[in-house]
Amino acid sequence: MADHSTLYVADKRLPTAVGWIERESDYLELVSTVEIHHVAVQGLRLRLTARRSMPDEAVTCQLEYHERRKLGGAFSRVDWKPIHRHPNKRIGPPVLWNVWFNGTHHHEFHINWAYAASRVRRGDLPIAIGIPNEPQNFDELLAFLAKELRIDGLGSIPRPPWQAVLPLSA
Amino acid sequence: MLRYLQTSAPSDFARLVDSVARQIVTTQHRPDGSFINTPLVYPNGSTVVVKIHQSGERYFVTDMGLGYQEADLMGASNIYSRHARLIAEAAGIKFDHQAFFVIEATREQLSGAVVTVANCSQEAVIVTAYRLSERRDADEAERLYERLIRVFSTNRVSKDAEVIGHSSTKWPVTTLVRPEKRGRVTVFEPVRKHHGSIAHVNMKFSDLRALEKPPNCVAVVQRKAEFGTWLGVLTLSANVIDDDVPNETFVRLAEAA
Repeated sequence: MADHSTLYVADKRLPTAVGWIERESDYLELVSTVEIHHVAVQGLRLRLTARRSMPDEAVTCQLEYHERRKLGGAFSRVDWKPIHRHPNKRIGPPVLWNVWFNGTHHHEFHINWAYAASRVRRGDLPIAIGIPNEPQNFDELLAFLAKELRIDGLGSIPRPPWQAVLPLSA
Repeated sequence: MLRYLQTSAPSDFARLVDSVARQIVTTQHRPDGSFINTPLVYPNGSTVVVKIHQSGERYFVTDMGLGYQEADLMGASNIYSRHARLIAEAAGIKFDHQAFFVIEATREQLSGAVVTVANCSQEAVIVTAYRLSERRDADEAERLYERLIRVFSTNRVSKDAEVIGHSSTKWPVTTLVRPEKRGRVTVFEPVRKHHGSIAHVNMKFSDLRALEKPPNCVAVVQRKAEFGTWLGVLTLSANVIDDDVPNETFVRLAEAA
């Protein structure tokens, strides 16, 4: 059984090129296995979601781990230009208590692991932090994720097949 | 409040409260519709957002499938769809495979429709998270049982058994190992780091230990080190082990009974 913190800091790469699939009418998803030292690790996955009708926003990226025969979940999650907001609870360092994030935020692994490890194992990441230099486009987002999550090969991920929706007549 | 009502100008406090209320709900207007960002939150902490589209004198209100997306990120979109349908039905609104919606709300119905859609979306994700948690518990119980039948013989181990405590309460126990010859039975019970789980097991074990011939009670946790002071609470009524201890530890505990 690998430890989440070992997985997080390990140098990782995507073993194969993966594409976006349309799960439901507007909901796009990309899921990839993740490799460490030439081994595609059981239960370790990278998942990105986007909305077809919302170009250049509303992308969520999470690194998931499901320990052998256990239901796990995300242990790091980035919400890039989301349409939702995230209010922190009173968990974690006091400086982050009850802070509202109205835009891009990061449910960063180390801070959640330090304050809520047992919740992290179940895919619950209660604490969010801001990202000082918010990625301005999808390529910058991938660059941020590659550095933050230590995953090589993210450049092979194609842009979501976004399609801006024309305003409907009222 | 009384003071505010008695004065013509709102106090600083009243202005502050008004400002807080305005911050809690925000709106965003786009060419294809408007968003209301509500103060309701999904279990992961993201706020519930509802979209409104105008069509003449009627309004289309939807959660855009954001609840479904949250459930999918939890790995539980199937559970979500199953429950969302029932939740929509009970609230008198619609649910397709992905989104909650109200098709033709009037201007007078609009605020109620927004609140209904938002609450349904949130409720469906909460129910999904709860069901997922139940599945995790069932998986933990199954893993413990499989471990025990590898360590002891199958005929010595029972799953989902029942033991009557000192108070005559019938307690369900997750796994029970009978002694090979004489001796007491041993109850192995998985415990999560949650006050509810700890309190329940503690209550059960306290009642069992008060019996004239009490079973040996063992709490099985994922990582003792993370229990902090809760470990002291658990050890009031049970021996506590990590779930990955060697087989010999399980044998030793059962034989000590």
